[in-house]
Amino acid sequence: MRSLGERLNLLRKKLINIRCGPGAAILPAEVTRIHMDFALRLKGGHMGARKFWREYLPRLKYHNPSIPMIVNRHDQNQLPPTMTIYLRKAEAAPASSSSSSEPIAQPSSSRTNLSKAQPPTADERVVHIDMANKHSSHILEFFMAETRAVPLQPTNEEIAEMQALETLRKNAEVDRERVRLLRLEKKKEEDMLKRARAAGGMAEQEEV
Amino acid sequence: MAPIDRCLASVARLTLSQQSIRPAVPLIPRFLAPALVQSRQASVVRTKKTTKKKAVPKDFKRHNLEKREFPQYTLCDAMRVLRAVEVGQPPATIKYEIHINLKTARNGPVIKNSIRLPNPVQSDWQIAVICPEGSDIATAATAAGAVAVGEETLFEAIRQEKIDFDRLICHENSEKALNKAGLGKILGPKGLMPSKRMKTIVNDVVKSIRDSAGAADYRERQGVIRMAIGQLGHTPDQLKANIQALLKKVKSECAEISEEVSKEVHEVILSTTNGPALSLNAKLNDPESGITVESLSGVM
Repeated sequence: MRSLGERLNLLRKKLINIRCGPGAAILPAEVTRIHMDFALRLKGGHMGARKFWREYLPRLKYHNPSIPMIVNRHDQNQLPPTMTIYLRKAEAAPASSSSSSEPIAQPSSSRTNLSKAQPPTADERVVHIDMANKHSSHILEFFMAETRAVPLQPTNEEIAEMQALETLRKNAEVDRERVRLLRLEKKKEEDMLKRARAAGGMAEQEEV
Repeated sequence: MAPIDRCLASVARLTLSQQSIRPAVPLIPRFLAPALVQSRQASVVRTKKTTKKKAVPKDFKRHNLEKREFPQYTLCDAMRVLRAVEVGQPPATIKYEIHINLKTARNGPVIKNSIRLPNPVQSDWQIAVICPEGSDIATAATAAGAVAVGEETLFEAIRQEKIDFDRLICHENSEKALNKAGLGKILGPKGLMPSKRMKTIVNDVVKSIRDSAGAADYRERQGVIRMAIGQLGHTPDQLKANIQALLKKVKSECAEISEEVSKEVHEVILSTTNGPALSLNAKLNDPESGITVESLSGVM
């Protein structure tokens, strides 16, 4: 079993990683859902889309837990990877407060092409982002511009936490090197002893 | 002229005899001839290790979480993190997992049972039934949803490692046949061997099938009970119901089992298939955290 300290440090690293960094932003209320559509394989410029999903989407999801973020993956590389952002129409804002409580008929994420992008409902408009051959950070820029999301700056505590983890990492590197050398020395000595013992053992046999 | 080999043989004998008549070296006791004794080098001297191995403690080590200020989360906080990590994954394949750390001795009885969760994690179990072939029981079991029924045919399939089921139930009348077949070697490691204690040798097969259809096994290994507790698509309330049901059962079992040894729940940890493990603090939601149960209930 892992010791408590080890567990704590691993958890701290994971939590700070999901809380801060690029993609940590609060989406405006008019964004109702996000849909991503790309292939399982990378051929045809699908890499940026996958990286966006892997790196930035967890942070977006953490800060906007109620917005559905659907990822639909398939094996049709010829189709361009697209992101669809569903936005509530400005004039429908007062009515939408009642309609938003109703669940939207939206199939959940799939890796077998089962949840294709839905047509927008009456009070929704859609924005498409073509993600083909784009870097994930590039896609994030487009995304932020389209949704007008507010990026979250890390608080002082979070900065302190990040710095603490960074010093921990650096110290760990130094310690790892030190222990490696110690072990190497120990092993060298043991090998020497072993060889000496083998030679000594033969001498004893001859004597008998 | 004599053949060469005979000549060689005589020569060999000659040398052998010569060796045997070599004068023996008079044996002098070692202590009388110190000069002959080789002095041993320091490097060759083997010192016997006198340090004894530390005895393994009787109980599993369990840290005091409050004293160490280990972070513990409400169910909603934990779900928020886990849902964020698992974003974009198909919700039916990703499972919530629970780990229950027990305060318990290393040896002694372990908890092992199955539970029917309020919201089942996996509903399509493949069940096989061992019962006399062609009997009423067999037809009833097939009707109840068993994938394989029989005695000798089933044994033969198991011997050839053709196991396409994940539950095995045995009828009482076939118990002898099962013991005779000697399948413990194959079924034992898979945890499929029917036994009275596991309640898989039963009188009413149909009822047992119906009971175990939505049931999940759990057992204590190294002082920890681990099992899948929910699908990613479950809402906080569904997950809460599952966790509560499991904990209630485990606690009652802990109370039952401990005649001499004490056994109690120490820590409850929630994680997902790919996610980090978060220690739970037995609360559903903290109003200060600013997230609602509804926000975690929708589609991912």
